[in-house]
Amino acid sequence: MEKVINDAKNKVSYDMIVTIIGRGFSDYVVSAARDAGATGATIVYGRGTADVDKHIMGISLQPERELVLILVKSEERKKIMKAISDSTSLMEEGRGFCFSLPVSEVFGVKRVAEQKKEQIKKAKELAKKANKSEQKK
Amino acid sequence: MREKNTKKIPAPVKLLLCIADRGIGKDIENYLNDHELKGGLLILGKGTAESDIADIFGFGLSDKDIVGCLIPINKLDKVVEDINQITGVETDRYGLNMILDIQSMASNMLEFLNIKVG
Repeated sequence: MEKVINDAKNKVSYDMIVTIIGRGFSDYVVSAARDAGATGATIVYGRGTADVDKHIMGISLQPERELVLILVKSEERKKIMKAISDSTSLMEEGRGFCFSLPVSEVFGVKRVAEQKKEQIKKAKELAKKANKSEQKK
Repeated sequence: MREKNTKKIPAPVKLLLCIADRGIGKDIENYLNDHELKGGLLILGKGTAESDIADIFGFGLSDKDIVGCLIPINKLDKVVEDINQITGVETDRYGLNMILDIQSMASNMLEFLNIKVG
């Protein structure tokens, strides 16, 4: 029983942040999320229906939107959502919105995390070698 | 009768969301169709590259397939295991498979998936 409780404690929970924003703004969302600690994102193109009645010179406007899906650890969710909101001014009217969904299970994250660790390890080794060679000189 | 309709029943399905390299979505779709898990949705999307070098050379975005499908809880373990193998997210490919809880739903999808409730 104790083991089960410990496992539950150690289990990392994930959330998916969904940001719906105007076409072309996804880059800002992704860079803000990355700066706040997210590893990557998936972008999907869509069309909003809120302003469907708008017409300019007889041509109806079809507001194009981008959906940005970001998988994050639950503990980092608030920080990343705040960063997205600040960088894209989501609080202004008509900019778009951002929400999160709980994810019960994820597959594929562990391998990416391991690869990142290896990359960091390699980068540290290279930096050490470079330092040593500089000291010799 | 009305009370019966509004009775709270735990959702017998979960949403499986797969983000995989372009082309693998078709394989997932075929698998789902073979196992009579109809009603899946294939969306074309773009992933953001991990490498800054790729960004510099203009390969910052890579094409991705996103597949969403409702899976009955009793089949979930087997389906997830098989889809992990198809997408290769735990072995050699980049991507994610996620399971999202469904809080409520309004659709005849349950009949479509041969699920009897209540």
